[in-house]
Amino acid sequence: MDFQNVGKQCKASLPVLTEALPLAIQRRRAVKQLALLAAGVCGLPSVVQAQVPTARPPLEVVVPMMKTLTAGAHVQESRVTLTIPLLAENGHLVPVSVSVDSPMTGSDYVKTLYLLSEKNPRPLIAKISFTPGCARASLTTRIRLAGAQYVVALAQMSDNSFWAASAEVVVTDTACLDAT
Amino acid sequence: MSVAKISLPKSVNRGESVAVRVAIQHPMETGYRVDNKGKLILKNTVREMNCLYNGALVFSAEMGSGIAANPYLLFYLVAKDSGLIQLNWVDDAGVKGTASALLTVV
Amino acid sequence: MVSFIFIMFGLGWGVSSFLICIADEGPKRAKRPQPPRSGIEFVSPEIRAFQEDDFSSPAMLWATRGEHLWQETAGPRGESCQSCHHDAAQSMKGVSARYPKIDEPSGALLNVEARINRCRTEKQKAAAFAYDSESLLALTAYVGLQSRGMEMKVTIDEKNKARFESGQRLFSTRIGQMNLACTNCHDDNYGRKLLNDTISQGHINAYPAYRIEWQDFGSLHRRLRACFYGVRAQLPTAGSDELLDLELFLAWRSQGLPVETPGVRR
Repeated sequence: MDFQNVGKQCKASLPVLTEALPLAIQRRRAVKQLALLAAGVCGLPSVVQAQVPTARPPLEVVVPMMKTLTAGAHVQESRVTLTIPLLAENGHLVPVSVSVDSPMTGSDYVKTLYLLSEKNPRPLIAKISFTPGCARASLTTRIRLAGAQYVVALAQMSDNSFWAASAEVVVTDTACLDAT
Repeated sequence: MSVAKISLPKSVNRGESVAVRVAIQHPMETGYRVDNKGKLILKNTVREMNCLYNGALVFSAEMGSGIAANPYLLFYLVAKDSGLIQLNWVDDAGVKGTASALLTVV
Repeated sequence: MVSFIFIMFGLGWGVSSFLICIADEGPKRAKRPQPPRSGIEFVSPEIRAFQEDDFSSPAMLWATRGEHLWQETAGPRGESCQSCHHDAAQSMKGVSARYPKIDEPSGALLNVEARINRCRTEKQKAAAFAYDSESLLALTAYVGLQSRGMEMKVTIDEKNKARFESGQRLFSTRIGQMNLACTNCHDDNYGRKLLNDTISQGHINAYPAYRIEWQDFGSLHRRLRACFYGVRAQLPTAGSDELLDLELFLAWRSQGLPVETPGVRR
């Protein structure tokens, strides 16, 4: 991608910004264009375009159930690692791994790990109870996802603090219908 | 009758981490599907699974329709003494299942 | 002189290849993708990982169930599969790689499922299993497991030639509201995309298999019926002659690929 082309692209789409779009979308577009411009300046490959992240709403908005689980306590987005494919071929079986950074001692361990879904009919996918008898607060399993959405892993420590991580997963449909 | 499997390393050193793998043959029926006559199929998932290490509860999981059919779980325990690692699970229909394996700690 | 030798050599080669053609006419005329590529090459890395590890493969749960059933008695004589066939690892080795096969006394074309049911009704004097029942799937998976890694190798000869040709015809006949033949996707367009799916060559070496779309373990005939549904055609019955013919042709078409039963597919 050369710089001049990026400039043209931005100019061409500028009038869109003046239209009556919701503020959030206008902001997102502006951010995207800035990022494109930056990518052009740095001479990065065009693949970067696809990786421009869109802003995620706060976790309690993504999964309203979080408010009940945390009883309003502050959730810090750190210490939890959520590994899940960015693109799931089929929502029926999506491998997922979660691990929480914790010493797992009698006085400092992960009590509970919640796996939460944004768009499944039941937002609580699983509730895992760890003990200090677990070598690490880690779980690998396979989940169902009803469509593209955010998946959230929420951990409650033995001191009752909450930590979380989220990931956006695109779930594709199969091309061939099957009613067998 | 469904199959439930548990897999452990052959032997581990005391204090080391033990990977426990579990696979249960279960449809994890969501309760949102209909049969070919249009009748709703009742929700029936493995509701809870406990892991006992020499009789003490060390890990448990509450599951629902968000867990894929034929659930698979991998978690880690601390090797203390040689002994029995036992899994007990129950589904919404009240069907219980169990699987166990012996852990050798050297 | 030199050119004369060349002509004679060419003539000789031509005649001999013509003779080979006559001897193996049926299969020779049918086309198949070269080289054959297993369906596992067309799925995502996640699905490949499920199949590669026996513990994480959901399909293996059915094979394990089949191992139990192998020893379970049925019928008035109280016989199990094991009573006659003993250790499946030896007696069933290679069986799934060379089926479907013509049953000598009856002349019927049998796949592994039909063979198991024939054993049940004729030898054990027990009731046959329903086609896609868990028990029949589990036993077929367990028998198939004994051939895992072996090359698919069905023999086409005078006895099964008519059935083979009928299967071949079905494979290349346009059917359904979409007016598509198997060959239109699986010969002409494999490797290309239908939405996010990559079209495979349509080989059968993993079946019966766990299919993510089904969230269940299922037979090859169920998979074939799914394709019929996909092109909006009338669904043949599982276990029907029509599907057995197609299975025979597909087994020949998959020749050289390793048996992956019980496999995992999209």
